[in-house]
Amino acid sequence: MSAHRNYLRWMLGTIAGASLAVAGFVLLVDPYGLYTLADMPGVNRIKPPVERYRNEIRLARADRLRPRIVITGNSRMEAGVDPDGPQLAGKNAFNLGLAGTSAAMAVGQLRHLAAGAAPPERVIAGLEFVDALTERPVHAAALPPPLPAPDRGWRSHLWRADALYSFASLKDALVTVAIQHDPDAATATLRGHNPLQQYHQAARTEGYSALFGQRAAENTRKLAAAADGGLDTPAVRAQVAALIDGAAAGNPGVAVDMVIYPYHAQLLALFEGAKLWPRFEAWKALLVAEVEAGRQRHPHARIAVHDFSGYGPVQCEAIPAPGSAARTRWYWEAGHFKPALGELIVARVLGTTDDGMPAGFGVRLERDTLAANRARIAGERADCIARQASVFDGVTRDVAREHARRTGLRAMAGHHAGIAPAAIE
Amino acid sequence: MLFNSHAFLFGFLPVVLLAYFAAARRGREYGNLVLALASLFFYAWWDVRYLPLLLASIAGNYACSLRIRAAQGPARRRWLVAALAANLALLGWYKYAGFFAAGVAQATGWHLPALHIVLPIGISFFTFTQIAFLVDTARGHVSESRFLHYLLFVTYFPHLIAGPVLHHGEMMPQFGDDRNRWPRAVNFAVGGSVFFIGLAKKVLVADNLAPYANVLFADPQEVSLLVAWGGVLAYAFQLYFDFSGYSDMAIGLSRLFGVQLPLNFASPYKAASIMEFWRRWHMTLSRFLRDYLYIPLGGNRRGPARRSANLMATMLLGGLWHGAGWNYVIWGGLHGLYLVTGQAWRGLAQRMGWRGGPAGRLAGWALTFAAVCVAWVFFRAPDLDTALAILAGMAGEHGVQLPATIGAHLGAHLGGLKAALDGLGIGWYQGGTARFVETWGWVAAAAVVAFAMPNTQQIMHRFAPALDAGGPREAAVRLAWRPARRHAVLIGTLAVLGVLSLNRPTDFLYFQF
Repeated sequence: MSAHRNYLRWMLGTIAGASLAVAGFVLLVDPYGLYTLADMPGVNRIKPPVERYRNEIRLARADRLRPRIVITGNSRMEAGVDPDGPQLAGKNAFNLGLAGTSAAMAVGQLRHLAAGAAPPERVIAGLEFVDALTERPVHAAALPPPLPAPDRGWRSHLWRADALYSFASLKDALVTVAIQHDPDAATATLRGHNPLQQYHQAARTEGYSALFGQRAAENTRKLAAAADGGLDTPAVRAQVAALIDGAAAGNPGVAVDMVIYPYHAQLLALFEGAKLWPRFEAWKALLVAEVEAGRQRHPHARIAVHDFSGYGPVQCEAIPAPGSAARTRWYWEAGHFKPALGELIVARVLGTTDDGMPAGFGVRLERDTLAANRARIAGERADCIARQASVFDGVTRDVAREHARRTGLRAMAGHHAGIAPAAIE
Repeated sequence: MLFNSHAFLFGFLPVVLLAYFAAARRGREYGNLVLALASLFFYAWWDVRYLPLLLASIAGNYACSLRIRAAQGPARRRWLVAALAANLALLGWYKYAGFFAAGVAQATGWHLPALHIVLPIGISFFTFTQIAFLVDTARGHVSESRFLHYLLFVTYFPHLIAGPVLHHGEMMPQFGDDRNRWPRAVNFAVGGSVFFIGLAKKVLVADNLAPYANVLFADPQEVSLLVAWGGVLAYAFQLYFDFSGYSDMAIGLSRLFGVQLPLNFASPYKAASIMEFWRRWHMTLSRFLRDYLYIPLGGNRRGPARRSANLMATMLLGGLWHGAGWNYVIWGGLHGLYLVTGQAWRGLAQRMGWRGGPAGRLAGWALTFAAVCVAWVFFRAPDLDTALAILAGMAGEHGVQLPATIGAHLGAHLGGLKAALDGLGIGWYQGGTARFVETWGWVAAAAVVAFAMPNTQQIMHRFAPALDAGGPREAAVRLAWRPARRHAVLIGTLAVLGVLSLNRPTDFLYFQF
């Protein structure tokens, strides 16, 4: 046999052997909780958050667990509500919330579950006001954007091969083994909760003030861009209607609880500063109207909107001063709440008693309670300003700075318009 | 179709190899026909609508080459000029019409309708390849002109999309070589190894650097010195390993069929002068520009002033070849200036009798690499404002800052160093620690491979992986490849890591040129 033939045999043998070893290792460690061949403490019991095929993996797990209660939403729900927490433990709940996704994703998830053998009995859906904002005004009569159609056919299953045999899967399997003894490692539960463990380390080294500050800077920039825009009414209507229909498709008696997030006072003040407040209230009214329409279409379903926004003692939690090692109880930063607050939300939604529930936290919205709700928030705001004036002052400063920056950019764009308008725009 | 995709590696390539050798067994030209058809299929996979354009270009140029060959005297020149004009018009329309229209609109204030012309992939490469063929035909340098060989020379799939720019003289004889009718273990061993090294460069290095470059070029506002340099170096190495990886993969694939492609890379970042850089970077394009532009313009035969003008013209057009945009013109212009300065410096050093020595070579290398990186900023930036913002950061206009987390760790464990950094005026910014560390980690790893490791041709030199590969001086290189078990396991492992990364196939950067 020639040296080159022998070489080729060894090279191909290495490829085949190493490939089998990789697939076997991923199968055994099971970083995505897909196979459950072996649950080994200290080896693979704790799982890292899923970065790829997040929705596919979530749904595959949900298909296996057949949850009775399903939580949907974005990162606020994903990080804030623990299906294994005191309120939901033993109730077979599952968190389908995914960071960076909109209601369209939740609609797809609910349609998937409705088509399965065990559609959920209750859906707790977090709704994001910021997603409804546009940078330019939208005509209310505009056509809603089409919701994504579910991907069917053999291509929709290719992710399973990739989740077993790919560099990313191998890396995730190695990460899984590595994080077993790291209390601050990023993790996620098999029921979909991502507790943002890694924030503990960041909070210790940089402080909560830095966490709030960094996120506030991002939010200021993002929301200031929407200051002169509008509310995407057609999209909101279409998504909420589809959400209700999706939940009721598999179970006409389903309970749907729509949750308006408990944004921290800093973020609510930013809504005000960026001239978004009227749109915030209009958005709530839209939700209420769509829920009423949903009740007409699905008379056996129990559909409600719960407003957790406001300036109450919870949302007005003090932000530790720069350099302070103090910890917060409810919030990581203004946009993301801790599971402790998620427990209060779930308790309110499920109607269970919770001794720690502050009065006025979570209000059920109906057409005839909208005005009273506005009054409640206005009253809370006055108290919050009295207690946390620095929060409002800080937001005012940030908004003014961002306004100046944007004005400068616009001026610069005008200055350069004669040279390269396309580049600036 | 991408070389770094499952469809290519597990579908197209095995089928074409089997079909080629089965056909070639019956006769050399049957194999060539299969290879040509497979190449056309490979091209059509991207967008079948542009296949007629490619075929029309090939048929038209082949017909012109026959007329040029048959004509004598002024008629030959007229045919050549007409054929070149047609090629340049085609290239100009697809590549530059939108740019030209936008420029006219901007200069005159006219509201011209925007031209949205899709650039047929590989058009620059197949047009240049054919221009060289036409010119050489007119010069009487073409010795073989069978249509099938010409078709294969232009469309040959390992090079069709992103080069190397082939020369008929070195390719067409190989398509007639009877030794390539049968699969040979040596070709598979060498070709496969080169291919997998290239795949690893692309998917393990270039693709992992890309996000760190992208994030800088997407938003470079008030970026500080180390962050700016980190992103620019990430791009410099991304482009290097992307293109170098593609070139290796092309060479490796071709070798499976027994055909050697020309070298396109020879560790350009090790160059100690800008002239040396251009002898090592995109070698076949440099060769084309030298033979068919710089030398016809007069090269260096008409004095230093004319040489400088020729260099500037060649590099400006070379820049414009890469894309229709002012940033590419600036990039080409910068390299033209570098070359003019480099030539002047070399002349001065020779007159002064200064040889430089190791320190001079080190300084030359550092200066060359820094100058190349500065030029890459224009090459990569989407517009002039972005490029200038990044250059301001690289020049330290926004200070030197490090992540606050690093500062906290230094303060806790190396308080003296932290104090020293504070004393130097280094600032600390919140967040972004992981990105900073990962950027510089990947840049350092890529730098080690680019600067300290032998390149693919040096590793494979004993087995002539490509035309002009290596020479006696390469003989003692570390990691020299041979068909041994140890190397098979090493390359096999590299292959698995590469194949494992095929789940996120990304375009090659040179596809857009």
